[in-house]
Amino acid sequence: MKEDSWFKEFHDKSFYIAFRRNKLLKKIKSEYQEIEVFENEFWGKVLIIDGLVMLTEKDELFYHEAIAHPPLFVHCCPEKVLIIGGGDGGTLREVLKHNVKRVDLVEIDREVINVAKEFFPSLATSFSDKRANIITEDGIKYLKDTENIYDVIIVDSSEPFGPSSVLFTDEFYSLMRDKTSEDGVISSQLGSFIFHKNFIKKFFVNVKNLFNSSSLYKGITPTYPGGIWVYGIFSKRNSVKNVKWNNKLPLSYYNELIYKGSLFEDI
Amino acid sequence: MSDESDNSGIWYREDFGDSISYLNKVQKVYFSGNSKFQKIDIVQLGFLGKTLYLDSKIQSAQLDEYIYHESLVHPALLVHPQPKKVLIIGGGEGATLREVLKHKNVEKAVMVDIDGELVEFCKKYMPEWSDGAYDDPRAELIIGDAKAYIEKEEEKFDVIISDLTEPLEEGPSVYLFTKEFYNKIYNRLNNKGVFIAQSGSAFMGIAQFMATNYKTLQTVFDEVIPYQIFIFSFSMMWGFNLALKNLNFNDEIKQLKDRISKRDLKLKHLDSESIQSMTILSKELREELEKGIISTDSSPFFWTL
Repeated sequence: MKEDSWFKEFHDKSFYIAFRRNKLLKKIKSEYQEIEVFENEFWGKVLIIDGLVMLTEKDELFYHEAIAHPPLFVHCCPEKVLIIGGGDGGTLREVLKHNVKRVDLVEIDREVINVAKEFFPSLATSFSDKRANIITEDGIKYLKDTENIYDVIIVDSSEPFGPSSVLFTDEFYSLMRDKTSEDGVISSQLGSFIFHKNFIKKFFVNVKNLFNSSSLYKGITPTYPGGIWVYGIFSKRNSVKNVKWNNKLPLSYYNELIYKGSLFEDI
Repeated sequence: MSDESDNSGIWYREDFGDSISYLNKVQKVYFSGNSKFQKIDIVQLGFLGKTLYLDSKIQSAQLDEYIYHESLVHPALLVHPQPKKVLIIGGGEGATLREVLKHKNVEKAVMVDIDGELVEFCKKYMPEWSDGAYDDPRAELIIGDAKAYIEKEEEKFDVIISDLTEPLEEGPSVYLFTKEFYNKIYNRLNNKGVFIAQSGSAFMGIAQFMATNYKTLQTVFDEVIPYQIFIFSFSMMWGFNLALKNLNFNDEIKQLKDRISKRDLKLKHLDSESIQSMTILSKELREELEKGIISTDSSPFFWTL
């Protein structure tokens, strides 16, 4: 196994995955992080940020459907949505399937958006939707300064270490609570069900009581560590469990039964 | 085993086609050798814990074997109103038998596995899997060919569970997935019966085995329900096909909650909601299943990835 032709990601000190770089497409260092795109025979194009798999063409839909749709259905009729992070455009694509009026996407790193436009058109077409408004800025700074109030906020960030660690604090969740409407709903990606249990438990205990109704839920993401990913959902008014789901929305996989079967409160 | 060693120790490598590999650090080798039918490695891995490899593929790991075995066994037994007699074909680790015996209304569970050496090695090196199941007076272990057993015996069952390895061209299970074999299975079920088969990976592009099993079972059974769950140690979504004889799935699933509590089932991973959510497949996977071919004795399906 030659070093340069294989991408390796250690999920634990005694377990790692290796994907063959059938073709290296891009490797750059932005102001914030290292970004790489390569082609793998099985997964298709793969986006790597700071040595971690962010998405593959073949399995991105599982992640993006799971993070986007639950909060939009828990809120009965969202009009204004904020996505923090999500520079690849996948979450935005899913949000725009709903009858929303405006979606602001705040991504700190313009290079992620550029790479998505160049290599992942099936995600990045969402950027050109009239309802989408792309802002290149730090998520917390934006939220502190903005006078906008959102119905739904989706935190589609990177891992809870390094620059994104501030997005996993109760201060940030209080701030989001203040910037959402009275029936506001928030969803966020929290980490691996297998590898990050302790961290997620600590985080959830800390923030769940800031909202009227909160839960964790699981989703499949084969190329993420452990393959089962944990999301949080937090609602100021409606129950996160009794969701009115519109089954007519054209999703590839996700639906009401999957969401309800995946909810859990204790980890 | 394609293993690699570096200065940090020995790593077992499991290849998935030639563009994906999964590497696990080995802490201890309990057993490594060949039975008459397959290559067997029972090792301690750093993260997965004790793990069984058959022909260099992870078969089950301590960390999450319960997820696989619960998902294989309980949906089938729970959609049956009164499963008293259960047959397992394959299931050498003994964990499928363990899960079956959790149902108090089961009066008899017969397990037929061709590889007696594997069964013995599993009993000896990984007793956590069978967890005393073979000592249960309701259990009966038969070492022998499932095909011969199905053809020669006449006893009927309420539930039959197929827990076999994929039909590799030279492997022992090729003729255990054909239309002819499934016809015989159908006849060995009681008037109301359930058949469940582990059906390999359930991911788009590599679900040919699941698709073949789905279409082949459809030629024999009244209703076939494909479902999937993510198994971490396989690094993949795993597929199953649930086939019903004189039962209606939608009627039976309404009873899940009630049956779980009446049978006093202690499950770690599954409940009524999560069993139903396993039946949701992506659009792409559903389309792929419809393209499955029918496996027959004269033209059996082989798994090649």
